[in-house]
Amino acid sequence: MLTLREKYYDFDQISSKVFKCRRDDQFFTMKIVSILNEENQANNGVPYWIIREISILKELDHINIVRLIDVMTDGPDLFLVFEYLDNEFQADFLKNPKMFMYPQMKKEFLYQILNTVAYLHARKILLRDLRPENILVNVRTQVLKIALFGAARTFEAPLEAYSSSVGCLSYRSPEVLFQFGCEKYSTPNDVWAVGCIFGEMLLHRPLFSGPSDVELLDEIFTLLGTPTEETWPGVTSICGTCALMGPPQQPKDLAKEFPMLNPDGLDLLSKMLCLCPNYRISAEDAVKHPYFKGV
Amino acid sequence: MDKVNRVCAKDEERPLRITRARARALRGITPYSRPSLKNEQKNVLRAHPKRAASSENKTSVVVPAVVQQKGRAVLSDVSNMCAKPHDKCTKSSKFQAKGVYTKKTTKLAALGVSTEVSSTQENVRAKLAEELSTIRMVESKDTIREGVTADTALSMQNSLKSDELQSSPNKDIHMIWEKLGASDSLTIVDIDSELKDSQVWSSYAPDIYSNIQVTELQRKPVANYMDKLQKDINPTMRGILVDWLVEVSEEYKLVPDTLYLTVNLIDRYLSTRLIQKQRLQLLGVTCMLIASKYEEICAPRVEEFCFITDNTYSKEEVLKMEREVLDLVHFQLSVPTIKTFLRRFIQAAQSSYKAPCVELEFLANYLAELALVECNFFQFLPSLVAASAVFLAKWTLNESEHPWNPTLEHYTKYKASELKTVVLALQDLQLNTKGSSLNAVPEKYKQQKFNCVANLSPKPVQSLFQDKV
Repeated sequence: MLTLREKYYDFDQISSKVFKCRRDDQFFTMKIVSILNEENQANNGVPYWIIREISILKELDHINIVRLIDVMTDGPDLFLVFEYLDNEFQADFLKNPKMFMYPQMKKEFLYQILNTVAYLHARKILLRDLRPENILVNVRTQVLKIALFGAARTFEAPLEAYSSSVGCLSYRSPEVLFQFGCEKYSTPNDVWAVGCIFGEMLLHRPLFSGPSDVELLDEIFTLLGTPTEETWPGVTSICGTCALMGPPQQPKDLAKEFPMLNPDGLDLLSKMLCLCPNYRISAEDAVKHPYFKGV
Repeated sequence: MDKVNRVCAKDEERPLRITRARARALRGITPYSRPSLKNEQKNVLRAHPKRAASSENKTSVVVPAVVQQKGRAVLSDVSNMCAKPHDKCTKSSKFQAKGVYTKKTTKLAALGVSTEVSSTQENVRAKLAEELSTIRMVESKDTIREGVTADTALSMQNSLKSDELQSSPNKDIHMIWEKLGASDSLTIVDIDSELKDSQVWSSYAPDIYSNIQVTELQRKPVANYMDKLQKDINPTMRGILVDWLVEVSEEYKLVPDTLYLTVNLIDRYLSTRLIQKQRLQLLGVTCMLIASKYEEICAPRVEEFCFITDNTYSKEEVLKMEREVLDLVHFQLSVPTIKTFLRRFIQAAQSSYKAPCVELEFLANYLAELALVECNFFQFLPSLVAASAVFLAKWTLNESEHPWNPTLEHYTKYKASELKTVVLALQDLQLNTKGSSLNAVPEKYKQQKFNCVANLSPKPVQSLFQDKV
């Protein structure tokens, strides 16, 4: 079996733990994962998130997902070899000023995100931490890649309980923010995150940015209205306490909040940001939405 | 390959248009045949179980004039009576199923199924077909996504809400139909529309299960590794290890998936790597550590796994073995296990009950865990073991009725006859015919929280598989 140095060569450091390397005239990106802690102790072995990330990435083959090529071991370190993305691929894609040049481009990227999420869900995978920082974009070729699957995991139906403290706060769905006995979340959680990204694409700022769960929920309800038993059956039992709900608020008119969106776009956004997870549109159905006609 | 290449209907045959009158004549009984896997990939159609009833001019649907049907596995007398006192599960009527598919009964007599229908039931059906104009034939595009094409299935669906049903003038007919069992054994229920989160799940379930049925073939341990490879260990030792791991998973309250993945990892390791018997327990705890990290919200720490072995192995040894196992299985932990399929198949089995039958779930899980301990079972695909566990669980709870039905055949993709070997082997484990002393699984399922299902024992299931001449 070939060692790391025999298999890959011409190492070029990109950042402290990331290298560019090559094999047979092909470039790759190598990410080093150290299993040792600061005191050089193998604390608890291979971290659970690495086990999940590698295991999940091994199952995937999609143009919009950064491809894991190889996993190698060398001493206490793991070396993850990914497809190489050139400098044109910019991380944190919403910070790219060229992103907002053409309205059609936003639609194209949103379509690619939803298409990827639908692909993952059909393979029993929840992303759980979908946010702009984890999305790389090549504006010239208009190709988008989702990276970082550390928070991802497989899911079951009927739903099992999963950790409710995953993902960036701003993109967490209401069902995850309602932590009272609501660890059973599923694919709609990812669709909510896509809805937040869609809103951010349009407004050029995060759609919700509360610093805590309660404040974030308040922001969500300010825009979308406070959920009721009619709009979200069982919500009162989920949230456990009315303190989280705050005073009842009426939903705002999304057409006024997003004047740049046509009726189809507004319909899609409202369906992705539906408070009740069971009524929220699936990624698979979202891809087929009339908003994407012509994409 | 017969299963894969089954032909549902000839493509070139001219379709026949079904009018309301013809539908009445058919009394809602339409062809059902399990689709081929090839078709399944092509015909990914979505079910719309909650769509409003179509208007008069939209009720016709295209079906083939001739449908080829293969002989199904022999069935014993099908009745809807529950014989056993512990069978608390009552049958559901056709009207409680959200998406229902019906099966042609022409060859049932030849298959040993009683086709006698009382005149009352015949009248009720005729009257229903006549008067319940709200029952519609779902167009071919609305047939279930999991490969049931327009050629192979017609869907009958009641568009009335249950409250409308209660106030309808045909209420008595509904009640009689319900009492008669509504030929429940001849229907395929759309199980995904039954879930609380049906919008979420139903759009993905068919894709997911067609994907994992491919994956299970790729991640299978070598069937006879004990004979071919291992020299220092034997099936008994493996059984003792898994039996102990069942206790460990109970002690640490691990999710069932962790146990199943643990055993999968053990078998995959033992399929390719020679091991000495003094390191077998090390392999067991290491595989459970890996499986816990993958499946659990909060996995036990390495130290705890060392502790449960009475510190026979050091932390360093466990961590070294962890890397070895992960390298060997190439970090491929997304494997379909018996439990993965069991969830789905239990859901399909529950569709024939009015209320979920907890005994069925406990009993199927019990039988599946018995199979985990037994070395001979990893030669079978996880889906086959899961289907067989459901078959035997249903039989154990109700011996008056054949446990298999079109819904289960559709979702498991197994005919009853294909389950014979595994069902018989499972029943041997259930009855402990070999007098095994490994009792972690039976002890676990003798607990009240599992309704003491380990105490149940059925009549021999062999009779269900005997061919009738």
